[in-house]
Amino acid sequence: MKKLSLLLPFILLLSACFKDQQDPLATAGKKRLWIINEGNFQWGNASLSLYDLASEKLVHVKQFEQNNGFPIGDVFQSMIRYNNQFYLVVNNSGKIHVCDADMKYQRSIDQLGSPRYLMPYGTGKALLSDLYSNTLKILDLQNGTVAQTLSFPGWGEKLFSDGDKIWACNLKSRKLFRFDTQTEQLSDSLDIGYAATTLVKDAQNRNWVLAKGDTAQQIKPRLSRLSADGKQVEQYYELDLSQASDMVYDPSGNRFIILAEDLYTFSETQGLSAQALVPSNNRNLYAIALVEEELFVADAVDYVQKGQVYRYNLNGTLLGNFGVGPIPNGFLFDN
Amino acid sequence: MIFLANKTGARRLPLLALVFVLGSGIGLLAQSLDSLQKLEETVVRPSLRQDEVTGQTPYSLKPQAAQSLSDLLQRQSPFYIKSYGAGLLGSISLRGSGAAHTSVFWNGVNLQNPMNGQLDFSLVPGFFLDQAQVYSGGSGELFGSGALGGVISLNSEVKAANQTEFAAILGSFGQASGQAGLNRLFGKQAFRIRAFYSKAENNYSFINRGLPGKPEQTLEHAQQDAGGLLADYRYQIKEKQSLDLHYWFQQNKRFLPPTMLEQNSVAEQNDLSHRVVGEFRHSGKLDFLFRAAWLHDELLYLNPAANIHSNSINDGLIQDLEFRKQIKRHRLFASLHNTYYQARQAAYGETRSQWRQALDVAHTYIAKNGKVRTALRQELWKGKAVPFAASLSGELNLKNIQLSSHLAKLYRIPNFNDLYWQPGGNPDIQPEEGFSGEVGIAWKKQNDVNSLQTKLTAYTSLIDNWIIWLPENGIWSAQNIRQVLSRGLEYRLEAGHLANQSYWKLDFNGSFTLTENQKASSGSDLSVGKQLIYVPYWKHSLGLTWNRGNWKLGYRHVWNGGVYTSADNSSWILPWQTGSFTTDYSFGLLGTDFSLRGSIENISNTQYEIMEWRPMPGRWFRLSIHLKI
Repeated sequence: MKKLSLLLPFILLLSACFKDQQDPLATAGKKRLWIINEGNFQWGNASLSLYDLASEKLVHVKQFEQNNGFPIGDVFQSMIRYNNQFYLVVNNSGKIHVCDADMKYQRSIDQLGSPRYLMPYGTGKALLSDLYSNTLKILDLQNGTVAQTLSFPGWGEKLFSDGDKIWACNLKSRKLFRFDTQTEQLSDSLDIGYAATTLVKDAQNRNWVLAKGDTAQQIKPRLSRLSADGKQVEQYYELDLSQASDMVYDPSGNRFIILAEDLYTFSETQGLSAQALVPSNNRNLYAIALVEEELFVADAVDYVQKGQVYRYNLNGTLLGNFGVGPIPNGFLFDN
Repeated sequence: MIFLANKTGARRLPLLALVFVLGSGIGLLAQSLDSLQKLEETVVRPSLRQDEVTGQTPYSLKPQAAQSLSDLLQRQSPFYIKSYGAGLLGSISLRGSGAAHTSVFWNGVNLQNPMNGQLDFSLVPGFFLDQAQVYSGGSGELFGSGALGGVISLNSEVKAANQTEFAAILGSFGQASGQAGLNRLFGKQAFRIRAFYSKAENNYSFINRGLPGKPEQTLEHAQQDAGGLLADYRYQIKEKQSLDLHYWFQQNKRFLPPTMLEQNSVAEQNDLSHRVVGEFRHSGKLDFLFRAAWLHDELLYLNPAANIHSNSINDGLIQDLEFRKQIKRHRLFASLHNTYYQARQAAYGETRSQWRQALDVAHTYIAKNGKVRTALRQELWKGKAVPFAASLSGELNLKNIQLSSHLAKLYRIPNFNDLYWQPGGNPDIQPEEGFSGEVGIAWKKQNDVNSLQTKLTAYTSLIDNWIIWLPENGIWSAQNIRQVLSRGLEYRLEAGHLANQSYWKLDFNGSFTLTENQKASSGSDLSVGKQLIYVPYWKHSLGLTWNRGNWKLGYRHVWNGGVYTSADNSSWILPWQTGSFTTDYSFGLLGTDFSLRGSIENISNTQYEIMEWRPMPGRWFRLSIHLKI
């Protein structure tokens, strides 16, 4: 391109060189890892990438668009599999796409405001968090309507199913909220530090909650262990880290792997690792997943180009990487 | 010599006073060509600073009353305009630079908003412009911080004759505009006032390629209305002394439509500005100019759905002092600048202010067939010296050929948002700085019936400490990350032919731009060596006009290259082209000059997007009537 740049005829020819992007289409394997690429706000560059764990190959950067002929929308926030269907929550498009197990589009649930995360429960219902509306919505998944709205001041974020309850994170609060799926009401809340972001279960089936903290307010991240009945915080640890954003549990080492710019480990016996398990090296690490003893780490790079996913073993050794869509913010393992 | 009118009330100025020559061959010839058609009635005088430009030939735009500056640049220049839609935010990328890298001067005063470093070109009405020129290429040594990509100079002036004018404009998508102007001469004084009101529904249809089945939809929540007033005053104190005052008020209310991938929008933006400029000028053995200005801008962004009520208010107080002295073949120029900015925005936490002072000096050696100019500028910012700016430039005239060159060292002071926005503003951020260079060759030939002129310019620039916003410690913050290398070509051609009482004119201009990031932010960064986003490799504009008697017909075609939408060049918007046709008929009746104009825009009804997922209008129409008494 550079060598041609001074030749005007070739400049004109360049116009014909812009063609629709074409990536090879491959058949999805049984063990699939979906990568949620949220894209930039109002840029409409969200995408869903598919990685085949068996062949260790990326199937397609834009699998949804490839399958359905239209883009996901603006800011693809999250997805979940439920009853052999995928629910893709598209934040700034205000909708949820419903797809079959082959990621073929079936329908959309529209006019949802600013949806973030969806958590189905019971028979055909789901709780939906929202960025701006100060509410949690109860959706009827069958007919795609909002059955009920619950007051939820703040920034509704991730939702975690836990038996007959759903834990609801709020990024503008020190509380983790509990939704009772029987009564369909918010029944309680726990002080877990500022801005609950992730909840994971350890080998003993205990719930651990990571609160992000807030750099601007100089609030450190906190890791809290909940009691078995979920009614109190049994133990918590202030983490001497900058803002933490994601966490997974590694059962083989009985430890947590925490994303706070770099990846650190934490266990109750050894505390927080002094050295990063995986240093960021100026990358913008944005999400992690632990799948079959491999760490998948999403890098948003500079937020205006395609992201990268790095694969590490549990010792922090790099196994490989592959390119995905802009701003990968999460994973869904599907087997 | 420039004056308004003699005591007998002459209604026309001497031709000499009308010709504004910046020393370029193409500029001279353009004047000659225009004079074949019609003498301009407005006296536009360059500032001393503008006169100093050497080695860079401006693109002169022909302001149209019904078009914004954004529209003018899109159609008439080889420069890329980033537009979010009809009447929505429009900014320029000059030679691959960013929106904050082009300074915009109005009657000698920089209008760049100190908070975000930009001016929204869609808010500048063509009706308020008597001259619009684009100086592409870095010229920070003359125009200060921010002129990394180039400078746009806008001027409004009094007319040299009494005149009252009215215009009514109607167009597709509910466009309607009324304009009125009054120019009066009182001996040594002249006063001109212009006002407009416009509104548009912008409810055009488009194919939504972002939805299943690609349905046709109508753009919603895109209504706009705007009103403005411009007053110009001149007092010709003596033959060589004058006092000019300018006041520009404008208010715009715009609903911001959703992108194709959003279901709806309730966002709106309200802009309000007051701009006052006063200028005293003395011409003689020592040319002298003093200018003072007050600028006030308010931008209110409302988005109830996101609980956003963001009000950005800033004021600027500017004083310039310019001197020029010619001693035989040596011309000396010096200027002092003092600027005070104050800005209020909730995200800043408190009212922020800034003083800036600058001194620039220049020497030009004027030879028989050319000139050589050296210049130096030092600016103080927050009490400290920023990287100095300097330039070396020259012009050489050889019969029909003119050679030019310009080499400059440049800088840009970070804007208030980069410094103070919380969270993320970085008080330690450094000014951007770099170099630019260009060489040009112009050729012209003309006789009584034919004229031909052309110019080719090759340029390069390297800007370091390029500011971008990236997360750091979990917070998006302004950082000096990028180093950007640009190089490219600009070319233009104008041909005129006079035959059988018809005047034909063909103009073609284009640009080719390679603009690449040179520094990686991390090992994952694939943007190194890749074209910057939203900078097309090329843009071309071709216009053909025919003028005979009371009739004028014109066709213009614009080709815009594709742009990348990701820094690693993995996604893009395809190239697009549009054509427009205009016809004018002018006649006199009962002492009144009437002008009727009709235009068809986007004749081929092309579906295109300049910013991805923001549809531009398809084929549309506009009719206008102008009266001058």
